[in-house]
Amino acid sequence: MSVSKIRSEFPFLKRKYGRKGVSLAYLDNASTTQKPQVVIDAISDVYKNHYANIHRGVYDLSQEATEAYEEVREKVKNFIGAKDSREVIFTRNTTEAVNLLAYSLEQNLKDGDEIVLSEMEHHSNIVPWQMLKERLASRGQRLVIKYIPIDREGRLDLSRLDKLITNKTKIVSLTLMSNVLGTINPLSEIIKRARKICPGLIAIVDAAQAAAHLRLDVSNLGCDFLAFSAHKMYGPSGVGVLWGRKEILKSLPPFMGGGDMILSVTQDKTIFNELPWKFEAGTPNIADVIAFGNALDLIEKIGIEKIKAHEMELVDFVLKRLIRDRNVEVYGPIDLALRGPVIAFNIDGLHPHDVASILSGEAVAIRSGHHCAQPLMQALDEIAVCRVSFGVYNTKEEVLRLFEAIDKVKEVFDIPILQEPEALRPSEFK
Amino acid sequence: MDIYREEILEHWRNPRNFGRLKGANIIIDQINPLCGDQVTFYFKIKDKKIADVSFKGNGCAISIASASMLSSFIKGRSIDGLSKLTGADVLDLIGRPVSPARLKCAFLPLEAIRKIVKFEAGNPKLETNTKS
Repeated sequence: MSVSKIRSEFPFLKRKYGRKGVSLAYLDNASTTQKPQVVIDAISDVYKNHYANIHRGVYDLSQEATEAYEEVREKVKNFIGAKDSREVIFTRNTTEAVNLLAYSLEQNLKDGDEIVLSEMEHHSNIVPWQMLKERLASRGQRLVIKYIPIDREGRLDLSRLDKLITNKTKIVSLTLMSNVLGTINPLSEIIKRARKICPGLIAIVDAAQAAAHLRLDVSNLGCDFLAFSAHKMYGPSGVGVLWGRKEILKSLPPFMGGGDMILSVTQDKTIFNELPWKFEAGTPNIADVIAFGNALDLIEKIGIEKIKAHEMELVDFVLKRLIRDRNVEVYGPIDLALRGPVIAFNIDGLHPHDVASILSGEAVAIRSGHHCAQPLMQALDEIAVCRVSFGVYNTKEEVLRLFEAIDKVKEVFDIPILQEPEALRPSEFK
Repeated sequence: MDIYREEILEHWRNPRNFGRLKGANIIIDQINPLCGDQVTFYFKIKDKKIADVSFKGNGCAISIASASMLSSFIKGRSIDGLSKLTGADVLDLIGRPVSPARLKCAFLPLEAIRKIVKFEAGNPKLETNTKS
């Protein structure tokens, strides 16, 4: 599918901004992606024609909704290379998936156990574990949280991994792709090395950033759990996925109690439902889950490898320019093979919010701030950074608008503008 | 964005009342939740008046310029008078437009002043570290 055909599928591009009347150069896809017409239509189609509660009614409409909902579970299973759709649990988002684990795994932990995270984790893969640590501490149990450090290039420093992991390491929970640096972490290697030291540990992969760019394969990763969010992959907000190994999921207590997660309830006792429904208490986000299926179809139709190749072309274009600019600092690996389509940078002496505000005036949307990764900011010794992140609909023309807008920022703040060789001038792409 | 006028940029380049204030009797750390920036305000309060004020820390151009302009504005004024200071007054001072997302940056020093007003009004709890 050509980029212009893809762009025609995304209605947000039809809205015009500013005096020039241009579409928004939306470069904040790591935060959330825009939605294609098929997803928007699917939501309204469910409510118009196929809506009823699932797993309950014996009437046809309820059956129809149930089938459509469960069909997406099957699609997700295939999307991540899992074997059994009963291992796929729908949550609200990645955050809820990690919280589910932090609660349900609590019973497995003993005093002095350890959990290994990394310095580049999103708060959603730090805070739930710190809360778990507090809960255990209130019962007199100690939980040690350790962090794999990052090196100067923004990669995980694995030189001391074999010391960080011990026979007390019960959980390793890591991001597959940094939401700030774009670094893609060699998780299958890390998990293998960790299991050599502590075979019984639970390996969790935060795939929230990776899911829209990398082919996910749970058997290849060798993990026990994998979590991601629909809204970062052109699907609706309010839908997340937790995949887990059946044997482990079966042994875990449910996260929340309520309707749909039971087989029988008496005044004294409840028998929990089978997988996956044991972990899906209450009426779920039916319409959005069904529409998420359309987002997965779109990704498969275009091909995730093609999506990444397109996005990485843009990354290459941006990096080539930014690393030549002595007034700009770029964070994260320069080697394209080690990263995904997220680029963090700062302009010397300028606060990222000022940069993003001026860019916004030029209809270029980038993110500024700590990106829910304050421990990473501390490791980088920055308070905040600017972040550009690409999606399937971004173009070179939008990147050139980004460059022009950065020049505008520099003009406002009196910072030398990078002189481009002719080959990089906008005219080439017009 | 039109807020980045020369006057704002000048205050950003050369902020007034910048640095630690010797003899300050109230110090307030303000954290901007948008970005995690921390700006510390130093007040010397005497006879229910802001005898002196300064600030220090990291911030965007809008928060630094706002702190610079506002600190000059409040110096010598009575705390009673400052209790009536509103967000609109701050925007009058620093100029418009400030986009809604950036109001937190512009109002960072105002929040510190509000804490002083509350404290002087007899509120015994002075929260010197807040995320508001």
